[in-house]
Amino acid sequence: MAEVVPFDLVEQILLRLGVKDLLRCKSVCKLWQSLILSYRFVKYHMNHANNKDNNNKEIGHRRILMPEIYRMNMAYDMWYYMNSWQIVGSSNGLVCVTPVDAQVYVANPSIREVKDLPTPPICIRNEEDRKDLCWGFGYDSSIDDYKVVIGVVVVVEGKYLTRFQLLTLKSNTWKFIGDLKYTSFSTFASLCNGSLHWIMKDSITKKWAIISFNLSQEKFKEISQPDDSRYAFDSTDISRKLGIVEGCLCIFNVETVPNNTWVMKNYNVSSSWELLPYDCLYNTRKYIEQDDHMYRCSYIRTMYDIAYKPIFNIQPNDVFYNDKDIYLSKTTAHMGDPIFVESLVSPHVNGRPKQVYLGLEKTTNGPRRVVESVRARLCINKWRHPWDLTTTSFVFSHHRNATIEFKIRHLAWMEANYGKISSNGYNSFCLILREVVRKIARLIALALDLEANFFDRPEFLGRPIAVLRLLHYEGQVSDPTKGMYGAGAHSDYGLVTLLATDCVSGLQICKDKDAKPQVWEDVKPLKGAFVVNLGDMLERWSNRIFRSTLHRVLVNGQERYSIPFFVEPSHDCVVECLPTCQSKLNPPKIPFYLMSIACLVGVVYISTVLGFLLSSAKSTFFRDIGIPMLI
Amino acid sequence: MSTSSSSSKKIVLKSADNETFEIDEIVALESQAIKNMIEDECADNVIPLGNIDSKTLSKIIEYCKKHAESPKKDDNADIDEKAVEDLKSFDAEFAKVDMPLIQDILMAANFLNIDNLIGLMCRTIADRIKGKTPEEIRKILNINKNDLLSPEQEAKAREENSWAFD
Repeated sequence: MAEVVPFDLVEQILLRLGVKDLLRCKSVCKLWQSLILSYRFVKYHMNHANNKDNNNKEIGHRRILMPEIYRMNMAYDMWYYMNSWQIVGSSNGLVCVTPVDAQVYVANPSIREVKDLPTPPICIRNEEDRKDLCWGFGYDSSIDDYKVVIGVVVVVEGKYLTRFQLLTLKSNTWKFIGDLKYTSFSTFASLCNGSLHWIMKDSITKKWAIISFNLSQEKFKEISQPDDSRYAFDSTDISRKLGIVEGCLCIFNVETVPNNTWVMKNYNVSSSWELLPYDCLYNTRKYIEQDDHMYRCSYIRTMYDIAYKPIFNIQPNDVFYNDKDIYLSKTTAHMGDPIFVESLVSPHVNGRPKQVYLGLEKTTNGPRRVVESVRARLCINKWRHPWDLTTTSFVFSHHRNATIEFKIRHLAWMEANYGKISSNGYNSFCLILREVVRKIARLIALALDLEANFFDRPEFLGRPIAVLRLLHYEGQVSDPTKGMYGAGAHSDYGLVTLLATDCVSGLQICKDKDAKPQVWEDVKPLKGAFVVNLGDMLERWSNRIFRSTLHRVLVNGQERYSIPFFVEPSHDCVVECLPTCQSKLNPPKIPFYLMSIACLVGVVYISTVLGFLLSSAKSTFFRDIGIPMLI
Repeated sequence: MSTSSSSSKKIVLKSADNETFEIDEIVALESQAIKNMIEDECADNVIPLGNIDSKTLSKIIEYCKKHAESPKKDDNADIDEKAVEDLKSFDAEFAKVDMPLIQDILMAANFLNIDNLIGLMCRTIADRIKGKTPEEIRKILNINKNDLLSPEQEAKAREENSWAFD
């Protein structure tokens, strides 16, 4: 018999398909296409997906995370971590993200659509300011629209207030909604029961409070906290976080989770707060045995798909951690992460503009391939440095946890030596260092009879290539007679390098590069100070008025930490002798080159011709050796 | 649960190819449509089902029998796990038939208004078209040739979501 399936049944079938399948099904026939694109179906499908996850007792909610992305700096053949993007919140498959400053986007990673929103009318000067913001994102069913909320601390008549602005996707404009006499503590709101929730601090009584913002009524309210002697939440406790467990708002301590987790069983009923028993999350659940810990299944999905959008400036060689679409994880670790469903909902609520679809670049053969090629590359690096014993770089340790641990150790060390750096250490550290370099560059410019701001031009240090490298010498012993060094003799090839070291000596410089034999002098470590190394480019610019610093590292068996900060001009900078440094009697001693070619040649040259040097250097970082002269 | 044949009321269904099926009323109640007819007292005679053939109807009766025998969810809060598992594996086995029959069962279930069976059949079809190309789906579901997109429209739809075709 087999007739054609009628319309309402087609809908029932399609409802049960995932988003990727549905996007393919749009090509099946006209009926299917119009159905899948219809507003009614999109809603219907989303609710179905929501219910499916809610009712799936074995798996629990899906959460969405930002992938960790590492980018290769070609000039140094090394990786650095791009970590500034953060997820504001998620609702109905839409995810609100802020990549930097107060920029904000709403994306649907399942259908790979992104909408950029107008920047909120607030002033963000630096990363520090950004930390004081509080954000929220959610759906207002009363007007069928999505709302983004941003709060920024302002001082009015000596009082600290948080000033809130709100944007609805349909209106696409920000409006002021009110000042609150609280300052933010948790940056991103937890969405529960149609309201956003933050932990905030009363600016007068200095007490902590849970503040809710009802998305439909646009009203703030304080939510009562557990009234229980076991619930302790004083002003010194900075590890508290809000989250969602089985649809209920919860407050937990990130360090003791799942202990001390309180759940509000009935929304806004103060007596319904309950302390979550330690094994409650597990006893009715299916669990998997892994690493001797009990894990409850939970779907995690990362923003991996959407990360291909040019707004995130993703490059084909970037490498992703948590790159799997979905994997299993300990749920309690993700209680604070937004709940996510796959949906067809478009962030373009007023209709899609043309060319919004994010096809993968034709040249990249899909994400996995990229990751594989990167992994292959890492292997080559390993092979190239089989003697990689004296130093350890976080970039080459594949293991994610090792990476993080390494960073934490470095940060602790950095703070011990250079004072408190702030919680997102590296970014602010880099910003400060860039400023220091800019000041040094002014001095150099003045010394060379140039305008003080000469190096501030875009092609010079306006858009510098600046890399912070974490080095850890593991405690081997150098022996120059056998050619074993912590780092062999080299000069850096950029403009200048700021070097932070610990109190373990080891750095040596050679003041006269051309002398034979070379004389090496120890550089005594000075707590809290930076060593400034001049680079080869400065030598070229200044026609050898400034000489680049030849240096090496000898290690004596003690562990040693050092953090160089390399600064080079942008890729399109032509590095040539400066006019004030040459005359007829003193012609340029070194020919010019283009920065990007220097990088390229540097990498190729270093990896081939200098092989013999590398083998004697026995160091991963010896590849910093200067750019060869192009003649 | 199941009622003995002597004491219970019987319902007689007649398929399109004039085959008659005598079933217990409790089995027939799985169908919301027949339930309504029974309540309206117009199920005393043979119920003719002019759009359902005997092959499809016997499958549907098999399904309704099994589900009528199983304890209902709302009967008892803690229904035993085994019964649930048993029903699940029955459903899985039941759905292992060819696509034309699945479509027939789906449409018959739709006509007779048997919610669970509609859900089961839709899920089965969805599982079978999961991961398939549009061409394969058209073939599997025998999509009306007159309703196809023009080559330009199809190219555009593919272009927009080319990554979904990887």
